[in-house]
Amino acid sequence: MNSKTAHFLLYRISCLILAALLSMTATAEENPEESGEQGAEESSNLSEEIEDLKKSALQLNRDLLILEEELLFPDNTQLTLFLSVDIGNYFRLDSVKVKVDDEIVASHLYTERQNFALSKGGIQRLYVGNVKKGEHELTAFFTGIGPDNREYKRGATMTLDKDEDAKMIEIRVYDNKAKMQPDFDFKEWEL
Amino acid sequence: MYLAAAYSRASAIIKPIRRQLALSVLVLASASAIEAREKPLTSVADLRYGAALYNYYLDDYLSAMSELLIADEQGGIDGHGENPKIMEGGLAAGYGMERYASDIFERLLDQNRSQSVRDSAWYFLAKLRYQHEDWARAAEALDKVGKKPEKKLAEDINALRMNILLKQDKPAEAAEYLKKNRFAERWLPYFHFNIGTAFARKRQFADAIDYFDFLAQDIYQGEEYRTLYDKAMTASGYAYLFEQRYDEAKAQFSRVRLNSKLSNRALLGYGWAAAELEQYQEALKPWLHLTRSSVEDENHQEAMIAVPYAYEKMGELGLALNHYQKAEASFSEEIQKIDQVLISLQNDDLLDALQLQSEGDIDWLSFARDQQLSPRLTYLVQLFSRNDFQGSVVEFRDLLALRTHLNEWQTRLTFYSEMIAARELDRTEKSEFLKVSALTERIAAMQQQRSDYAKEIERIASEKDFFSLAAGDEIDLISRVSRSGDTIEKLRESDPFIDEYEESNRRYRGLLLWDANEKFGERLWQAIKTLNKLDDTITELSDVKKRINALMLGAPDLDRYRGQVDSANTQLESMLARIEEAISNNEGELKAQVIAVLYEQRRRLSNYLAQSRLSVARIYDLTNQERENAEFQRIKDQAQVKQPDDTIAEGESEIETETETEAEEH
Repeated sequence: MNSKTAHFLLYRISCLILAALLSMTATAEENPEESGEQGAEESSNLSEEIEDLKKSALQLNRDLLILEEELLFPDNTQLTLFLSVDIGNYFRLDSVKVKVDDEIVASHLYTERQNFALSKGGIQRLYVGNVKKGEHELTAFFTGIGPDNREYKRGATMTLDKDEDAKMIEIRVYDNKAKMQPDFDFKEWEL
Repeated sequence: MYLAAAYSRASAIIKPIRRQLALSVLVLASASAIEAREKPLTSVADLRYGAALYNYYLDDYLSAMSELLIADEQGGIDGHGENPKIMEGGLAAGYGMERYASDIFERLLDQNRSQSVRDSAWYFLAKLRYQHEDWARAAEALDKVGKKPEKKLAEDINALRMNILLKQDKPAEAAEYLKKNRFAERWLPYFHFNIGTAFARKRQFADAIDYFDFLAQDIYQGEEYRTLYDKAMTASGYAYLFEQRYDEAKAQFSRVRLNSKLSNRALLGYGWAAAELEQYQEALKPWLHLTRSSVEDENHQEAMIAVPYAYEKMGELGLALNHYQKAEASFSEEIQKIDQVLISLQNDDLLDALQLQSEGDIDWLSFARDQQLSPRLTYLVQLFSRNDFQGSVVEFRDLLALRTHLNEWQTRLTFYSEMIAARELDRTEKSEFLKVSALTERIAAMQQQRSDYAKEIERIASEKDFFSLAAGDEIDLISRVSRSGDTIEKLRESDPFIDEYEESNRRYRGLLLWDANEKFGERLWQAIKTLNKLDDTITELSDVKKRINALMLGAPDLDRYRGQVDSANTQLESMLARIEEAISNNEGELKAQVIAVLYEQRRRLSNYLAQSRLSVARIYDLTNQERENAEFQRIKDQAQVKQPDDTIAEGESEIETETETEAEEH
């Protein structure tokens, strides 16, 4: 009696121990976890199919974006505004508001994640629109947390001369190490 | 408590592994950019590169990739060397397009590139092959990396090589590699644990113990490392069990924190180690504790039949029977619940139930609160932690996101189509206006007039018709002189002073003629100048007409746009159909995996149930046999006391034979 029970239980223990050990592969940052082999081949075919789909969708998306830009924002009227933050040690952006000739064209509230993306070198496409040829005044207002964790508000202005070519303006927030303050300016890009 | 831990673990592990690859690619791409240009991380030379980065950090791979593809289409990104391509490869890998990523990295190796670019490309190729479980080719790719890769890359290469050795089930080589190479400190506990696990898989438990015990040499502060420590101690305890070193096994199990996710497994092991030492009373302590935990925990299930086993070994058959019966009832109830869950999952939309369609990470904990079937999801935690399951979930979500995105494009294209139609209408109206305004005819009429003027000027010049170019009062005076001449002719016969008048008139006319003659040259020049201005006006009008015509002829552009929109609409429809099909296939695959796990759990519980029932029957048989033996002994004793003769001896023999047969049958 007891020998049968003990044998059965030992068998079960062995299974349990093995399961415990084999399922415990640890994950260190980029190290892999255990992977199942069930239906791996089917899965792989499906994955390849999905990858093909994604590739086609990406190409179509690219073509549609180009078409959209041509349709809605022809070069002779196009104005695109970008926003970047260089490091951001002295300023954490909470919001930005942009005016073209006294008309608000863009405003944005920043999440922590968006701030992180900006601090990592990401550039936000803030506005794409149309303006007439000639001179325009561009004004950006920034609010956020400045040095010593104090609330910080600043504005910056530039005059842009719209011509036949598409206009790309980068609104830059950057650390002025000498002043230990944030600084704000505009950079016009030629593409 | 356990449920909460299980759900939060599932929530943590559902994040896509592939994102890590994209991240490492970007980190390396950024790092090499910094080194090459000695500029801060955020300095970018092309807006699209920065926009792609921004979208990447917001997990918007589609937009990030699209930015790079558009940049490529419009002439590429300047000033970043190969980084945009490396970045595109990383993003593609992160977006689950591994073949596309491989193509990019292989192309980077095709041409003359810098050593650092080649090293990065080989590393990422190795990583992609590793993800495809092609260990040998992954190792080959790593062999191609230069002798002195950049420091960060070198660490990653060592880590990947280590993982490949472990995946190839070569723990001894991995152990050797660990000794001979440098690794980031933070990775060492993981590598030791993984080598220990690999040795354990090969049943080399003594070797495994050495590596598990490495983790016992340090005190860890962070929860991540504390959990790893608990895992290592639990695994080490079981390895000692296999080595039949039960006291050491108990010691290792005792090191696992009671509030750890591994504590139940360690408690179970501790019980088995004690049971092997025949310390059943001690084994019962953790096992009885486990029987009070959640029924979905497999350690609880195991403890439910381990407890009566211990009682049985202690000779407490009544208690053993009682616990086997409890286990039987518990397993039956749990099987019924799983059956209900399986029915509900098959009837309902499984993906709704699992919240796979929601954006962001899956919050299993809040889901557990809201859903009736949630406790059974504990069985799925192991499944959720598997790479292939996570991959399928991420792919499923990608497909859903693509479907939403393409549906949005369909709506926008409808708008653009209407916009193009409006522009076409506008052009038609302009064309109509041109017809109505008869601009061409008016210009022709002006040209005719100009020609007439030119002839007149030519005549005046040749005939020297000074008065034709008179202006202002002069015309009036000339007209008056002319009228006076007519009047003189009429009065010649009747007026005696007519000669005087005639003389005066002649003198006035002569003066006017003199004056006109004086001004004739300038006036002729002015007339020619005016004629030239008229020419300019006609030319200008002709230009306007040409420009309007050109605008009208701009219609082919609209046709092109219309063609593009129509073609895109067709492509969208076909792509959406393919996506629907892929979603359906993917959903089916996920469903099959989930249901398979639940069936496996059901099968396991059925086994436990069968074992419990057999044990109950066995104990009943035992007690019956003992009772029958006791009864037989009593009868035998009575017979011996009263009349010990042959008949009784025969009857005794029959009873004994019958009892033995019954026992054998049982």
